Formats: sequence, structure tokens, C-alpha cells
Amino acid sequence: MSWDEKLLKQAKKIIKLYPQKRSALGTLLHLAQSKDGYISDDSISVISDLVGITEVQVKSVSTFYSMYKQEPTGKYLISVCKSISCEINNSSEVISKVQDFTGLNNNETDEDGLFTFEAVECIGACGGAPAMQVNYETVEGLTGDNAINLCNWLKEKQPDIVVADDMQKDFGGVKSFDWAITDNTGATSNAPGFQTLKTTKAKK
Amino acid sequence: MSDKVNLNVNGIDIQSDSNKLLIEACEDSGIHIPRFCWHKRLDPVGMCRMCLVEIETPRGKMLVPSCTTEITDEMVVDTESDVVKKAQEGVLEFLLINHPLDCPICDKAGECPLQDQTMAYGPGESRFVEEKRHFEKPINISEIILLDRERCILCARCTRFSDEISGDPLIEFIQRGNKTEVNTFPNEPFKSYFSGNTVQICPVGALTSTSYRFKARPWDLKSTRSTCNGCSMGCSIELNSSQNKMLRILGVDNDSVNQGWLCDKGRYNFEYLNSEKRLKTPQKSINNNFVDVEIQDVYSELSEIIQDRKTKVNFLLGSNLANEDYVAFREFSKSISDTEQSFYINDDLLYQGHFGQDNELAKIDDLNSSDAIVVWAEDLKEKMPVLYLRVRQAVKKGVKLIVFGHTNKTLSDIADVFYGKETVSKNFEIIKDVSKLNEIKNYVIGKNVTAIIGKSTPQQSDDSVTELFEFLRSNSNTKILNAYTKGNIYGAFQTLENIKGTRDFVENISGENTDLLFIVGADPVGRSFYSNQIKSIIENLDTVVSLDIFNHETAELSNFVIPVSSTLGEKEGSFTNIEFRTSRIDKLVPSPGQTVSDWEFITSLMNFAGLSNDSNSLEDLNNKAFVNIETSSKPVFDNLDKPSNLDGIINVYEPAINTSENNSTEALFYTGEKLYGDSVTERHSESISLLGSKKFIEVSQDIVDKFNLTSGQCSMVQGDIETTVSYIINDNLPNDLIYIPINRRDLNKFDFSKEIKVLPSRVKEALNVN
Repeated sequence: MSWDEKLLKQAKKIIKLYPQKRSALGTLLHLAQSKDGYISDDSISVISDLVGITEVQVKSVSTFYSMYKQEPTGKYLISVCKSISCEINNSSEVISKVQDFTGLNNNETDEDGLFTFEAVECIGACGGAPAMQVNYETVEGLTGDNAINLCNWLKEKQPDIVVADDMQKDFGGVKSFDWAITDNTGATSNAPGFQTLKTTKAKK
Repeated sequence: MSDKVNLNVNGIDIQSDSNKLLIEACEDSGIHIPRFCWHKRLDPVGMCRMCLVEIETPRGKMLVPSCTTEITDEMVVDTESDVVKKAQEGVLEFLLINHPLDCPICDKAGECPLQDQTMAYGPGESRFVEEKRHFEKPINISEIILLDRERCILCARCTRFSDEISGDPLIEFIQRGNKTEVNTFPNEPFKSYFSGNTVQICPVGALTSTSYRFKARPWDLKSTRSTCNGCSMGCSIELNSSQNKMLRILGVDNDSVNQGWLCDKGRYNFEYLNSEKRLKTPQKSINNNFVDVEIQDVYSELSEIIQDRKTKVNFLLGSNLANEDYVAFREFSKSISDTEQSFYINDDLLYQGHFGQDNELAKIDDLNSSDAIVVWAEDLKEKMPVLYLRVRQAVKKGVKLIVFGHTNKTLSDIADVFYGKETVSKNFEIIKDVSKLNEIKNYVIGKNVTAIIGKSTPQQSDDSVTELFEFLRSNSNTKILNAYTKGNIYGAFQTLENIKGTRDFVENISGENTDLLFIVGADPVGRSFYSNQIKSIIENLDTVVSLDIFNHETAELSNFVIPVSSTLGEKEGSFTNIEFRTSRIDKLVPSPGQTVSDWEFITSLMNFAGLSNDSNSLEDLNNKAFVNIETSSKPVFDNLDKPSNLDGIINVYEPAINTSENNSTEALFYTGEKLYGDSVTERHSESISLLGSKKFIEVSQDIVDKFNLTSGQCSMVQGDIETTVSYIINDNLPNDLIYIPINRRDLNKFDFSKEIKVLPSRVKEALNVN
């Protein structure tokens, strides 16, 4: 077992939430990702023991969903939308400029471990197309240049928490909706924002 | 509510049972719908879309997959419309996009559903000009199974089989979309006892076995239906040969027995037939050297011994003979019956069992219809793997499973109630605490119970098994399946009288009561729990005649070794399984050299010695086999060969087992057998020899601590016997009890009534010093 006591305790707490152990699989994979930044084979072995299914069954689920990363990502996972609304609003320019800036092809991570680039299907921000996400925190109404500014900022400042509202204010444009509620909870890693997993944090 | 529904398929009215799937209902009425993923014995999944048909709905005609659509009354179906044809062409065009079309080098070509259905329903040409998906060509997913992912059409038959049927899902879909592949977890090979079934049900050439790969083309194969004689399950099999060499065994769907499945041992333990090391000429031991002799000389020498009426003859028969062989020995025994003779069957676990009028015997199908199954026997997965599948199937349907004994490691995983070391003592007795059994009263009292009961280890007393059965019989409506697991042992029950096991052999046989011993198809010195005692007995006998396929440890001690043909594929005859179901054994390949059948040898000897003999053919012996069965459905060849009887005929019979009482002795060890071992046939079957060569013991954590074992290896020392084995921790074992699989090489050479020292492995210690 390569998980420490604390993590195992957290895992057991999660398993208790479900009527059947194997139902906890999805959340446990997120927990594994919050630990390593990706789903390691070690984590798969631990999870298979915890929920009582075979390792390959866990692997099967973890490789099916693209948000469970099979390899370590950089500190910032940049996901640019390539679906139809964004494409119409020139996301291809955003994609090519971000790629030029980072020097990365799709699903690649740079040598410093700073950026991972991916072009993804709809991220649910069609009203503010073109849009992209940094560690799943969304920025809408982008232009190619703004996207580069954003990447530049990430590269220079390297913030530990990225917050959607902040990035939107500094680099974004038109937004789909304005909920008028400030959300200063940001992402601390590429694991999607689950408070129970401590992958989100309010910015001080 | 009516149980039948009426459908109209392609304009024809058909009737079917109401809970069926459309594809099944059509199949039953002779209307074939093409399919890849649907399999009669697996849950429907709707992966391949090949079985699309049109049905009429309130919204007009609609394409639906017939494998996931249940039939309803008045359903109107078209399986041949233009729309359906177009859909089938489309599906096949898609399936072939990434299929490599390497039929010329593919083992499946000629019997490939993808190939056949592409010819029958395909578009004839492809519009796909892009690069196909590429994977590394076959990868080994286990020692005996190869996977070619390029050929895979993602039907999920193999993954569903391993999940639903065998319960060891070690292969699964990895990745998604265009990248989807079947694979194992890294460093976790597809080590299943049932992996060969996935090769058989694969509708393309993606899964192949190392055993059959590149050996033959389907159109060159000769085939016949026979019965597997590996264990007392008696699975129906199809034998395939080419150029007089046995090449493959397939499972045949016998609804009441194996339902199409086989264990890997049954499927691949035929390769020894083609071994170069087989005995081909009769041999005689002269000054401890074997020299080839003419069989006529053997007959005349043995005749002289037999004709001396004072000669005392005994038999030690293996459990893998055909019924007719047993009959031949019975007839021989009758013709020389001046002294009392016994038939010793090569089974360490033989005991009286529960037969006769007081006990209702169960059939395998009773497992599904009972309320609870109680098991107190050898580990079924190791000894009768396909019976394990049937138990598993019943449990999946909701039958409660109650398992007794730390000896049942694999069944404990699926049991509803497991009585392990807390209830079953180290000496294999159920601790007489009635309150413990209260737990299962709800499951058994007044219910229909199928009890699979037999001895699990030679040290176990006969009483311990009987006690549980008495408890069940007095509290519930219990049917019993006597768990004798060895080969055609029920055939021996049906044909022989005065049967004893190896334990009685050790107690009874000596130079005083035996001048001539026939050992037929048995290697007790190499395999038995009583190996050492049997060895010293045989060494002290005047004349020992061994009839076998290979030379082995027992044959080496004999005066004569006669090469015989194998019951698997080289003999005609019949086989009787655990529910007294007799089915046909058929011959497909000739046996090599001067080999004879066991019955041919013994009848020839009778004729040579001038003994009275009126059964000179296989048919004569077969007709005599079942003298005690008076029904019209006697399992003689004439009856067995009727098409309606291919699955076998059941005739329950009360055997004359004559073992002495075995009292419990203190058990220092628990000896059992694993599925794969080191018997002489397994050693000469390449695939199996890879699986059964590892030597190991199972121990409790207690023993690991006590002997300070750390390296994963340990030495076992007793006198001048020393062997290095790896150890596995088995939490089911009581403290201080070591499990030793005695069918692995040399592990039966210890004296299990005395202590064996367990030491940390010396080799590893030396490494630690360095």
C-alpha cells in the first residue's frame, strides 16, 4: 500500500457514503488524482483492494474518463474548447497561439512540468465562447492575445491557487452569465474542485 | 397469464416462451440473425449492433438490436428487409474499418464468425482508405493465451465471460473510443482456470492459444464428440485432429453438465498424446534395466504365472479408464477367482459415501433449483472446476451457499455462510457446537438442499463428513452429490465390485496375499499421499505389471510395462460422471507404436492363458458393463449413440465400495491437490507443464512469524528429504497447519505423519550475507 494513513482514512470515509463499495470508485479515483496529479498504477492497486474489484476493472474505468489523467500533468492544465460554439468564435486561433506559446501538441506536458495543453470538447461556456480552462477554472470571451497574456501571467507569477473570477477579470471578455456572486474559491491542482478532497481553496 | 407469446417474423407466425429475447426466439424457430456479441450463456450487452432488426412500433418501423429486445405478444418483426440489410452492411463496414483482414495468417479463418458474416451480410467492398489502427501483434496475456488487439471487434464476450461466468475479471476494456483495447493490468496476467473458454467464444482471431496457434486449418480438421475424463464432471467435448495428431479440444454445450465451458486443464491436457516420450513397445525389467520385448512373450510369461492356480492376483486401477476397461478387468478377475480379489482404485480419498435407498442422490441441475447448497469437500475450483462454475451460476441466481472447512479457499469468497477455522478443527472435524450451526438453520430447515459432500484430505475421518450430512438430512430435504472427484471413478463404481482405495491398499497388500499385481493407468508412487508406503509394497511383490502411457515412478518399479492407448481420443468406450450420467468416449487418433487398449491387453491375456472368456469385443464388454441396470435406457452404445442421448443417460446405481473405517489422526498438515500438478501426463503437455511446475505451500501468518520467514521462500526438511518452496499466506488456515499441494513435484515424498521442519530458505540467507 502506497497510501498514507490520512489518505486511507479519507478513502474509507468516502466508501461509507455509498451502499456498495464499488460505487465509490469514481470519487476514490479523484482522491488518487488529488494525491499524485494522475492515476498511478499503485493507486489503482490500493483502490482495487479498498473496493474489492480487480485492478484491471479500476484501470478500465480510470482510462475511460478523460479527466482522470493517466500521466502526470504540469502545474497548470490548460484546456481550450474546440467544440462548435467556440470554433465559430475562433477558438482555433486561441488553440494555435497557446500551442505556439507553450510549444506543446495536444495532451503534452512541457519539460519544466509547468503546462499541460489539451484541446477539449464542450466545457459548457458556449455563451462566452471561445473559452478555456486552467485547472478546470473557466475563462470566457478570450482572444488569442489574451490567452497568451494569461499563459504569460501563469508562467511569471506561478500562483498556487487559480481562481476563475480573477482570471476572467484580468484576461477574459464577454461572459455567459453574471451570477453577481463572487466566487473566490479556486483550484489548487488538476483534480476537479471537490472540497472534500481539499483540491479547492478560497483565495485569501 | 399465458407463458407463450405469438410473434410474426418475416411474415411467418411463430410461438415462443414469453421471457425470451428476440434473437433467442428467432433462433429457436430456425430464423438466424447474425450476431457477434450475443452469446446464449452470457448476459446480453448490445455491443456489436450486428443483430439489428426492424420491428413495428406505434411510431412506425424501427431498427432495434434483437439481442437486447424482449419479445412481446403480437410483435411484428422483419429480419430481412432492405433497411435491415443496409444496417447490417453498415455495421460490418464499421467493424472492418480497423480490422486488419489478415485472414491468410489468422487461425480463426475458416471458422470465423466475422469472416462468415462478412461474406453473408457484408457490403463486399470498403470505402475506408485511411490508415488502420495498429497495436503490437499478439501479446501474451498469460502463459497460454495470446491477444491480438488489432483483430478485436470489441464484442466484450471475453470480458463478460471472465466477469459473469468464471468470476475472475482479469481482462477488461482499457481506454475509450477509437483507442479501446482489451488488456490486462500491467504485471497481472490473465491467470484464470477458465481462460481457454475466451478463446473458444472469441468471434474473431483476437484471442488465440499457444497450444493451437498455427497448427492447422479448420477445413483440415477431423472432429468427433467425446467426454472429458479429467475429473468426474464428465464435460462434453469436441476433439479436433489433423494428420492423425490431436490438436484441440473444444467445449460442447451440454445443458445439464458443462454448458459449453471447460477448464483449461481439460482443454489443454491432451498435448501429451503427441509426445515423443510415450511408451511404444512392451518392456520387461531385467536386472533393473528395461528391455524391449514382444507382447507375445509378455502374454506367455504372464500366462504361466496365472495358470498356476495358487497365484494371488490384485489390481490397482487408475481412475481414468473407460467403463469397458474396468469391465474387462472384472471379467478377468472372475475367471481366476479362486482367491478373493479386490479392486483398488488409485484414490486416496475413497470412503463409503452416501448411496443406497436412504439417500436421495442429487443431479448437477439440482444445484439451480435448490434453496441452498452445502459444500464440505475438496476445493471444487481446484478439483472440479466446471462444477465450481455450476455452483457459482446457482449462487448468482440467488441460491444460498454454505461452505464448510478451511480447505475450501475459493468457494469461501462467494459463500453466504462460511464455516472456516473457527468451526472446523485442525483435524478436519466440525466442532460439535450446535449453536454454531444455528446460523444456517434458516437456510436449510425444511428447505431443498443440495449437499456436495466428500472427504477433502486423507487424514480426515469418514465420520466427520457423515455427521454434517446427518444433520442436514434430519433437518431438510437434502439431496447429496457424493464428491468423488477423480476421473471415471463413477464408471468404476458402476462396473466393479469390492472397491477399495489406496489407503486400504497400503493396509492390505503384501507379498503374502499378492503374487501378481496389475497397476493400470496409475502412478501412486508419483502422485499419492501414500507414495512411500506404496513404493515399499510394490518393491516387495513378485510380479508387477504396469499398463500406462508413459514410464513413470511406479512403472519403473514394475517387471513389465505395457504401452496402452489413452482414454482421451484413442479409445472408444463410455464414461460415467458424478451424477451417474453415462456418455460416449470416442476415438479420433490412432495410438502410436505397439500400444493396445487396456481391455485388449487383458482379454488377449485371458485368451492366451486359456481362461474362459466370452467377451472379445468392445461391444461385448459394453453390453456386460451395466448388468445391474435393468431399465430400457441402459447406457449401452446402441442407446448412447441415438442423437437424443448424446448428452448422456443417467442411471443411478448403488456402488459396492468396501473401504475400511478411517479414524481421525492428528493432522500436522493439510494435503490437497491443485488443478495443475506434475502428473506424468501434465508434465508432457507443454501448456499445462508451464502452469503446474511451481512448488509452493500455503501457511498461516502464525507460521510465518514462528519460523521467521521473510524472503517468500522456505526450505522443508524431513530426514534426508529437503526441498525449497515458496510460501503463500492463506488466512483461512488454522494456526500451525500447513497446506501442501501434493500433486506438485516431490511434495508427496514427505511422511505426513511426522514433523517437517520449515526453515527460512538457505539460498536467500546466503544472499543476505553477501
